[in-house]
Amino acid sequence: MAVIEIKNLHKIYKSGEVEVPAIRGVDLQIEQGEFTAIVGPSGSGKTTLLNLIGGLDDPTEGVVIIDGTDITKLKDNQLIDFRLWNIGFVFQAYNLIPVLTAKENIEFIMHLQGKSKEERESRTMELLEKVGLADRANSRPSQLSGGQQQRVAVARALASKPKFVLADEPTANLDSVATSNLLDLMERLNQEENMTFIFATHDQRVIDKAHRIVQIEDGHIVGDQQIK
Amino acid sequence: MILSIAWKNIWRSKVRSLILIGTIAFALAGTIFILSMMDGWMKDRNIKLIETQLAHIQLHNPQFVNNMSITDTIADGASIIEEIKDMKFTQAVSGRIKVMGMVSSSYSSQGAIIEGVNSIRKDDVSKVYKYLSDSTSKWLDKVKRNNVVVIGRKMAKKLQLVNYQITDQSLQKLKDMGLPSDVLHKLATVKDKKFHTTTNFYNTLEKILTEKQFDEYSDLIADASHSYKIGHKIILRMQDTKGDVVEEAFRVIGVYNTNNDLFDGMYIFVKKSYLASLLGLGANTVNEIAIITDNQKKVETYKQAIKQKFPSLLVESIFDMDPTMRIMTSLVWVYYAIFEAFILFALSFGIVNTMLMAVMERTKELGMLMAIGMNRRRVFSMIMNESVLLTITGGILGIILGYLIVLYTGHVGINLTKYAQQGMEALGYSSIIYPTASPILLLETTILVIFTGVVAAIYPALKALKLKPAIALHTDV
Repeated sequence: MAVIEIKNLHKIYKSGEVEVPAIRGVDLQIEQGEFTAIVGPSGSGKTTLLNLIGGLDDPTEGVVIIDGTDITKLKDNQLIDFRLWNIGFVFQAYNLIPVLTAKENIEFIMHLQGKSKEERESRTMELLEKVGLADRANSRPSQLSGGQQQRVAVARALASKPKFVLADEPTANLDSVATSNLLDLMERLNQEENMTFIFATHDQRVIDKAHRIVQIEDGHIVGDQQIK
Repeated sequence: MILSIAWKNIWRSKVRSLILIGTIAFALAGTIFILSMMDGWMKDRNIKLIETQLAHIQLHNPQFVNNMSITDTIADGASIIEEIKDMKFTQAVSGRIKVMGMVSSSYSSQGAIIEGVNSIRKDDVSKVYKYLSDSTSKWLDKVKRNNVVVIGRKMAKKLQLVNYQITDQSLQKLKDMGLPSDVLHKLATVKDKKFHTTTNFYNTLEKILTEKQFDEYSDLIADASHSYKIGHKIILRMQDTKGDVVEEAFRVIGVYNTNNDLFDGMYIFVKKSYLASLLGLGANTVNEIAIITDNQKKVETYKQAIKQKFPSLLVESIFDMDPTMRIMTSLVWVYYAIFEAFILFALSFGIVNTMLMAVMERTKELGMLMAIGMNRRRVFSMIMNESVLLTITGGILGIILGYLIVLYTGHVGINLTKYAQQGMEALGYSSIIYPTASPILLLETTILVIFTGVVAAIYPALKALKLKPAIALHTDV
């Protein structure tokens, strides 16, 4: 069954009088457990597409159905709640909360979900083990390397037990060792937990790992390959 | 957790937050100090007014207030006093005899209000004995003789019942008060010389000091180097109940000082029984009954109760006798609030500015928080919490600092004698102020501080709510 179903999606940005179409009629289906890269040159519309899937932006036309819910029909506050329970995010610049420790950053999202202290703590420790940072649980982001911060971000994205994780250029700020570690980690999580990952990237190292590659150019899907 | 994040966020920009906290703390400490000073000043005046003149409630013959005639008395005073004593709110009650008269010393004469009070302290609501000016002064109960009188400092000066002598001690006192050394050198030239009248002393000061120095310092010098002529005789002259003039010599056994020129220059105290016999009044007759109740705030109710019991008498509360007291009691919190609101209004601009900066430079982070599922209510409350915590931290420090300053100055007193003794004492206010921190003031300050923190955060918090996560995430600050 498709986790994400996108039909005839359009997004036009207005810059003064000028209309800039970023997504022009995209149809796409993503199944549970996919490890998919949306690739394309800068300005091709990858990030916009990811934002529309994540409900961070409203489409000009078309629908985005996630697990049976058309998120384009949700109100702002419902959408925030929907994201909290259904979507995990990993950002290019890690975007951890700088005043919280690694552990607290992961716990935070479960706190927003109103989970009990015991549940939060056991899930956090489990995730820290999985991303290999159990020994850095009490470090603040500023005390962690870029690769470590991004691994915390992955753990945070999984903490809410989402339906899928959206990662926008997750490796753009990482060196090759950290990139390879991170990709191995995400692939492992994909296999072990059947977690769906969708990347927007133009990093060849990520593309090489992807199981499916959706190519986008000028807001159109120009290629869709199942590799593995 | 939101509260803990808000608290941690405050310390992300330590210097900026500390500057704001410091500003709030100092502004509030200053405000609390100034208001406590006013409060202490007013309370001092009110307490003295109650202890020395008005008590809480007074009873008179309705005719008495028109011209203070000695014939308009309360004839059965003693039995009325006994009845009032039995009323449950009465803490102290006593009868007085008040009569207008003339006082003369060998140097000068002047008008006075002669007040006959119980010679035993505990029987009287009047507490003038608390204000005796020095150890040489005695109250009426310490002397067996009947023809003795206690007069005020101002009266003693007017009657020239003061000796002056500049000694090493008085020079040191003046030096401590900050008099210029030039003046002190000049005073040293007349050191140890005795002056038996105020006129002589002032004439000498006028000679040795410049005109400006004389204007500025003569009263301070006189205060530092005087001693009263205790034991000196004065003559009191008054009309008795038959209209005949009575004249009697009294010995001054004490001088009091309530720092209120109007009172100290007018009221003199003698033994009631002796005054009654001079005037030809019966032993049970008084012309004023003064009552101290258990609660100053309830005097109006008590007044009504007394009125019902003694309909033929004029019953007045302190609020009737001194309307400023009513303003002080009922409106003081409004006065505090207005004063503080102005200060906090000014401070709120600083808070808005700081919070706006905090929101702006965290655009990306706020975008991320909304993206991962922190709803607008929580974002709003986080910003609110930051502002309120920041303001409360400054507020608490300010309240503590202000309170400590008030405690200290309330203990040692703020001496304004050098700057404004004459002016203030002429108006009935002491020139030494003992600030008192009223609980209402501290409570109001706390409430207003929180209120300011909330109000000042609304605009920055709304600004944060308007952020679109997709745009905010890609904003570089």
